[in-house]
Amino acid sequence: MTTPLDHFSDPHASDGVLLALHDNERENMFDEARESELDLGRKHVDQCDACRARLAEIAAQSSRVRESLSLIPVPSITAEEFHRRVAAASSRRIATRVHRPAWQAAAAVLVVAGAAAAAATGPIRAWIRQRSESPPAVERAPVRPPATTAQPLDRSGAIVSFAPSGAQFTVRFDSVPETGELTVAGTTATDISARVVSGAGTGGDELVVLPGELRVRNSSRSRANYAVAVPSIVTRLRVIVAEQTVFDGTPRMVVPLRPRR
Amino acid sequence: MTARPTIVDRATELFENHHDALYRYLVRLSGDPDVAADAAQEAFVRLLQRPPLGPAERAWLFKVGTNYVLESRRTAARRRRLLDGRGERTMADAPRDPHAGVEADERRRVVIAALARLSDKERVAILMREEGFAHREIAEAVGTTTGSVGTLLVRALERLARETTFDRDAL
Repeated sequence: MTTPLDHFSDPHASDGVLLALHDNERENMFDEARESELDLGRKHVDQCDACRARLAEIAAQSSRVRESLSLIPVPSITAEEFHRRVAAASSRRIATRVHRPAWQAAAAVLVVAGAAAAAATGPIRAWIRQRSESPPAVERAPVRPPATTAQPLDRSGAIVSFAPSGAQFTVRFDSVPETGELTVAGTTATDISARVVSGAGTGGDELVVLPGELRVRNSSRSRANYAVAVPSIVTRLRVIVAEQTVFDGTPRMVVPLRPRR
Repeated sequence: MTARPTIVDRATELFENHHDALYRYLVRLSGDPDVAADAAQEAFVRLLQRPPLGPAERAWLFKVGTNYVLESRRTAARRRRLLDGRGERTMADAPRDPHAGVEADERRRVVIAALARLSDKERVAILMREEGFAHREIAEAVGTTTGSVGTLLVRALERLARETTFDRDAL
């Protein structure tokens, strides 16, 4: 018997077609020619003892392989371990960011410690004005491996800048500070920029860049003020202080970090 | 205000939907749980940072993980060649478990060795099939046509089945 399966005068269904029939590939088709080939293959197998025998052989091999593969032990990884690994991978990536431009959008960890004992007069507004009126000349913070001990950077306060990972961005503070506020403004730059503008060092403030998130490692003693400039691609900002969402909306505002009494 | 998913929500969703299958696949592909964990995390980090266009998120994760594992093996082989002049060591050369001789360990060793003897394409194809990928997706992953991938798979299945047929009395 000759069927259209037979491109080279082989009357039987090919191994590929038999395996596709075994694997129910008919259900995954988006290709009419392939569907038709499998339909013909099915009809042929129904009438051909040799092809049915070959199909049974392939099925047995498939089953044996499945059983063999199940012997390979697969350690379990918990969700917590997964999150820890993803965060760690992000932090390693920043260390190579300077040398690997393709990773510029990668989330990363930058530690900005002990920045700016004081950022001169009207620091927040001056900085925001500078960022939004005549943007970019982005002043990048030095990139250092995260494992090293944090050292004070530029006394006038370093800017952390990084590419946004999407339309949503979160600023997360570890603790409710003694006092302080976060000012957020738009910028025509393409990167998000963040900075401790005053009061740094009062509560161990560190800015840690994570995927889609800026984490501020602060303490309840902190008296720091912060400024963040976001490009137009970011349309939603969440501010979380000590696990409580204190703001969720358009990223243009000043957020007090300590609830008003 | 409608709550939209955060990056943590997204990571959790990805973990729940794909991690087990991807990690299992990568452990089998690499023969090394540590390399597999690194490859999986690399794939998820990249997905979180630059989501692929289109719906084929799962296939994309497997592709990134696969590339990571294969590149790791090439790098390790190069390093070994530089250090001791030896060629690439396969998973089958791995030191045996101290409890070797126990039936399960022996079988495991045989399976890992048989997998390691397949070509990269065959191994990727077989393991993706085990995770339920369609032949069309496997063909895309190994760079061949849907028509040809079936033949590739059957050849690899035959070989693997032959080399992992255990004589239960002998072991």
